Amino acid sequence: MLNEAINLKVKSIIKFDSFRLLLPILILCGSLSVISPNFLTATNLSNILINSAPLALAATGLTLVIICGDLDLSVGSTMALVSTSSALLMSNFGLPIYIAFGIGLIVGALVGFINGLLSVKVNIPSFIVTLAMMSVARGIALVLSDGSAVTNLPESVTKIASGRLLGLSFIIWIPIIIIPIIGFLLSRTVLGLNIYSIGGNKEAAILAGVPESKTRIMALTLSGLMAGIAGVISTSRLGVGSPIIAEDLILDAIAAVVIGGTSLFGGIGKISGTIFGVLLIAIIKNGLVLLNVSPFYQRVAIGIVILIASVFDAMGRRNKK
Amino acid sequence: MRGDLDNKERIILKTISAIDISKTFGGIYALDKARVSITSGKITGLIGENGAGKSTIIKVLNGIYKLDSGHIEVDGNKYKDWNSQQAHKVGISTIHQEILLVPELNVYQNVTLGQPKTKTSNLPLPIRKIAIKEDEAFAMEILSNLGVKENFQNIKAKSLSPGKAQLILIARAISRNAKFLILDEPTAALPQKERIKFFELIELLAKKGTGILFVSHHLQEVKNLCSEVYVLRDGKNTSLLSGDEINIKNMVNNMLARELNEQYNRPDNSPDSDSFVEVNEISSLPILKPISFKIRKGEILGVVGLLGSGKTELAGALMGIGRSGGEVKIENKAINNSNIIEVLKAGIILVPEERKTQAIMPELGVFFNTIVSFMSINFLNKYWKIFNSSKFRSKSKSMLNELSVKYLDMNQLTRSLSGGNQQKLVIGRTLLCNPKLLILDEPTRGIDVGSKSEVYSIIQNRVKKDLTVLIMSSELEEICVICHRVIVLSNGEITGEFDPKKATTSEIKDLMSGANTRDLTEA
Repeated sequence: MLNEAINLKVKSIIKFDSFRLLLPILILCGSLSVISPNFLTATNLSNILINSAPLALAATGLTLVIICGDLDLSVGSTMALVSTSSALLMSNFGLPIYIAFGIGLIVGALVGFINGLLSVKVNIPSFIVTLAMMSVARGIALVLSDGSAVTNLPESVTKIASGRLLGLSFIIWIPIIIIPIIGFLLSRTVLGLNIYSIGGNKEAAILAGVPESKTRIMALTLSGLMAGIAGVISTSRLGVGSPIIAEDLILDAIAAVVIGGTSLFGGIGKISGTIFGVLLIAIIKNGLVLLNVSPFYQRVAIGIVILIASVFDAMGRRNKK
Repeated sequence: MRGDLDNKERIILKTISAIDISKTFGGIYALDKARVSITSGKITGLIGENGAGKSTIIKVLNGIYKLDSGHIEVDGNKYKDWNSQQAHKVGISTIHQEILLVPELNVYQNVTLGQPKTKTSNLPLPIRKIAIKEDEAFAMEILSNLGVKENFQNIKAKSLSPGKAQLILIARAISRNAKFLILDEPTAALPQKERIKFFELIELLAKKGTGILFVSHHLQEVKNLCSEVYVLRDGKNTSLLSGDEINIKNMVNNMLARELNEQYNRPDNSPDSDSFVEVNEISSLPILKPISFKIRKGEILGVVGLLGSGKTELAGALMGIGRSGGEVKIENKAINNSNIIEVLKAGIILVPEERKTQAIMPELGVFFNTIVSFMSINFLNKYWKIFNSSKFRSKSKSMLNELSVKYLDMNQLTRSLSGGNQQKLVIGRTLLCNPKLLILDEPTRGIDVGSKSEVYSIIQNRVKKDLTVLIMSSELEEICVICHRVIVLSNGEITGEFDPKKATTSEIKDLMSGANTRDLTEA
């Protein structure tokens, strides 16, 4: 019996260890740097990180929601809504950029809060609520901007994107600072404990005193806020507010979360896993571009990675039984 | 009369028996040399309390579980390995208490579900055209053989009453040539007046040669129907009753009888004389009718009752879950029960009945599971409070050590602990919150003997330090030893209260079963 317990323990380490994705990432980087001389250059590596920053932020928020046993399909639309609304505040109302972006973040959090309220208080599955919100938020963004990019933004908007610190773009610094905070929140604070508990066994968590409604609403609100930050970054990079950004970001976000070992049933997962998932996806996309492979193959490749990750997961689960 | 297959292979099976079956889960015996037989043309009863092994032995007969030891015997042929195909071949069919119909299909489609009559064709079965007329005629014939002449044309299964739905399930089993029918709590979903018709049907089936195993906790029904009754307790057969032996008192005795276990100590503290917790007219309809009782400080109050007596409903209602009325006062202060967190904050905590589904978070570590209630209750709106710190880790650790929970390290998945250690962990979780009243619903179900006595000694040690405890249990002898006072619930009402030092167990069983008899004779 002790043997069995040790066995399980070892498996649990392997399963929980987000670093298991490090090996495939290293192998991929190694082969890419051999095949393509352009891969292992500072510019290219920095491009990978810059391109994946919005995805990393959105997927981090999504990880909280999924561990809590919910789902947030509206992150991409929230990004678009935040981008257009803060751009409009600057171009049409002349608000200073930091205030406009601040209001944009509040909009993002509000979208998440409404998702949470409807899922928890009206008791509609979050899948449905956020599916509807995906459409509504995107629609509002299109209505507000009349379907086109919001231009005439102050020049300083792009400064966020072009600014550098210690040789790295601000766009890379933002996730580097924010994501560990979320990771800390999840792994160390009462909110994180509550999120894991509700995802792990909702009925037991409620009987143990975990405030179910508040926790789920908070997770969804944080997801909206993170999507908002991603929207701000994208706006700064593009220099315009766009209602059509991040249209299929949600697919990559879910893929990154799942590849990172988070269970779609809730209760299991880590932010670090999601980040490795984001990096893996970004490197695959980058590599295919460098190798001049048709972009259509990107989807095939990412799909295969999701399948491989799930197969490993399912095998792990079967071994336990 | 039955399905057309019947005429082709008219092998008349007489008896199918599960003999000396043992089956363990995680080191605990779910079945320990248990046996059950079903004989053609007879209605055999199978009774036992929750966790006695009834559903396990049903799954064994259906070939779902592999046997640890023992064998299945079909008309003298022994089978060591028994699988679901074999079970299907000899015609074992089980009807569960949930009614498994496809609600949007019509009645006849539900009868022939999965094996509809098709037009003769060379196509593979799934894409053959269904011969609707023939299919309906076949279903109708089966139903009329069961004495149902009603026309179900175009009636969807979802509009059927529970009794009719049950009938459709039986028709389905018969259409598939069922020779042995296992009915698992078949009347649980049936209103009283539909039951009588249902019993007539079962008797008719038996007369026509079907062997029936009637699994139920409605003892009066078992008494009226069955010619033989197997009684299981703790995975063992306590007796095989037949003839005059089948009476309620005897059945209850055999379900509950337990040798007095001297390893449990009587509580050696004496509770305060004033009442500490007052429960007024609390109810959880339709099962638990309004009841009132008081608990003194430092007291261990036991609540005993058979399955369905309302014990679990009482535990829930005290926490504010499913309560239809009444109030709970602790130290003369009424508790706001609008939210379970308010109840927990007032100092009432429940260790729920179903450990796996209601208590532990299996995929989370030992530490998370231990500290969760403490953090939630003490830092209710302080979400930013850090729980994963050495302070709270050592707090959890010392609690787990105090309760001698065996684990490898604090991050070990809780799923990998044994049942007894999981239960001690859950108790530790609640004790960390310093509850005023601890409610334990079946605290020793499904755990090994060693853990049982550990659980009881934990409770008794804590009671000396001011804890007040309410225990719901069906383990009569144990509860009599460890409680100061015991109340008896039967059919949602308090039928008696006694001092376990004075009352004899047979008197208590009379209280539990006597009331049971009274209610069931209404049927």
